[in-house]
Amino acid sequence: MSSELKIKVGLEVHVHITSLKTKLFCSCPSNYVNLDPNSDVCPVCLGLPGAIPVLNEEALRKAIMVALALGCDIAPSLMFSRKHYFYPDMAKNYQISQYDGPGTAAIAKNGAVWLGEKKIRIRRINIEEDPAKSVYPTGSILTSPYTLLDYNRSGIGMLEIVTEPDIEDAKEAKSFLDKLKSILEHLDVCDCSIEGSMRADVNISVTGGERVEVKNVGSPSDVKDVIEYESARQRAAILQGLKVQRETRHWDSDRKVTVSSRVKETDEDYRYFPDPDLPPLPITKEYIERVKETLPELPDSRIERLSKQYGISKYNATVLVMDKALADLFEAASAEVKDYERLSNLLINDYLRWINDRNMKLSDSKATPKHIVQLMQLLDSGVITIKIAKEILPTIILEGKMPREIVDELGLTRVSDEKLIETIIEEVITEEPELVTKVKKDPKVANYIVGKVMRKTGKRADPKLVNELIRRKLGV
Amino acid sequence: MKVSVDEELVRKLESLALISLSPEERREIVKDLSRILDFFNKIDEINLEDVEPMFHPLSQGRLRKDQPRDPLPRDEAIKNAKKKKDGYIIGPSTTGG
Ligand SMILES: [Zn+2]
Repeated sequence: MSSELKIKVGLEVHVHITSLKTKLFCSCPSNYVNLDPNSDVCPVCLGLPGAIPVLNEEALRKAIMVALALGCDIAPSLMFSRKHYFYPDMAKNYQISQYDGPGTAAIAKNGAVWLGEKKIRIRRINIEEDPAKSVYPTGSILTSPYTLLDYNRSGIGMLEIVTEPDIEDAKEAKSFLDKLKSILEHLDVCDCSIEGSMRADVNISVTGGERVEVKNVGSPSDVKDVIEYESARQRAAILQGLKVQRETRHWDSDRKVTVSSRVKETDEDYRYFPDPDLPPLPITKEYIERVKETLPELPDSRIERLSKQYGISKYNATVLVMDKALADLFEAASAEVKDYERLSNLLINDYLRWINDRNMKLSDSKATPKHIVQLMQLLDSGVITIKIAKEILPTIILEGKMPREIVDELGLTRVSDEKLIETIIEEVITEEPELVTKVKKDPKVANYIVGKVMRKTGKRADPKLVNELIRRKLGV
Repeated sequence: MKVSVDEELVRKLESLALISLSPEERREIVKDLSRILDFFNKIDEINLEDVEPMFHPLSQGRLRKDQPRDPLPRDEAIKNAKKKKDGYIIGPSTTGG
């Protein structure tokens, strides 16, 4: 491990503006998921000659919201450029995008995302259209003799958010993407839980090497894997005295490796020029002001507010807000729950962790605020123990059953009858009489006895009470 | 900006445009392109220091409401595609050779 070989990472994040009802430049419905191929298309998004694109006003508003949230300078005029390339997913042979060049500019520049004290600079934000979807009949781009094309995705509105190379490791990249995702969700720009709604190109270089671009990485956790893999690969190459050359690589998410792109890398020549179909549109200060007034509460202020209003730790507030849906669940449930810290702990340490451990998404969970409120009430009133709460969470998440119902059906209510617990403690001691002397030498043995009692009650006894009774009974 | 047109440049343009020219065509194109660029070089002589560049004859674009409309019926949408399969349009392999 050579720590002096620093890595530098810049990301180009592409996000679908999933809140739009129509595509970027035509009125085709934007919800193309699960539709028959080529059933959500029109002359504009098919790229037929003579079809004229007209911008979706809501796309402009959303782009301005993101620009404001990231503290960017906003261009005085909205302009689109044609980015030319020949590929089956782009019938008109150019993508309508934005470009910083003579006479044209990206909608926004010079912003930042803050990760605590660390600033990740945003170079620019572009509005652009998504190309069609290519389907490879053999499942692999390398072996397919032809490409199947579905234009339903063609023309879907996207934002490209480009950072400066300020990211220094895989963990930081993950934090950046989590924060960005949370900002986009709070702005109601992108529901990032939709498969493929957030993709990224990862630019990564190691001290002494050239920049390597890994294209089209499908999810934030893949971005983390890419950076870990590439930094190890590039460091190893440099330490062996090899050169890291400038190249484009692809991420193989099944094998978890990057593969050099077989396409010969010439200087990319997209021949950008201003799109004559889309005359510039002034973005007035008044318009920006109006959008600013509609900005919702953003993650940083929500974290502040949650920790103040509910008295929960800053850490808990941050974890909740990084998943907007989780913070929403917390706030909805808090109306009927008294112990906010306990509620936030339950949501973070038990609920969220269970979902994350199974690679599920929060949106897959069937739990509503009602479920969480009832679960908390069962806990608070001592009907169930935290162990039981943990045990029934999966049924709540997967089946949406009410906690009370599960508890009644399975007879999981807490055993708080002291007499009964004492009888069980006696049972344990009869089985292992040596425990009595052991516990007097080493009070920690009490924990072992608690465990035995818990097992005998099917985890339904309150461990604190059991502990107390053992100590009282054995005089520890 | 002065660009000198030679066969190498034409070859690059061929590859960008995904076409291939015969040697005679290439020689012709070198001449044509040089002539066209000469016209632009002439225009470049004009002093435009205080003139804002214009990229569009129309001064202002317009916006559209975010209201969905029915897309094309699928048969009509892919009617002009030469090759199709199960509703998909068939395109070339993207890594072939
Ligand atoms: Zn369309």
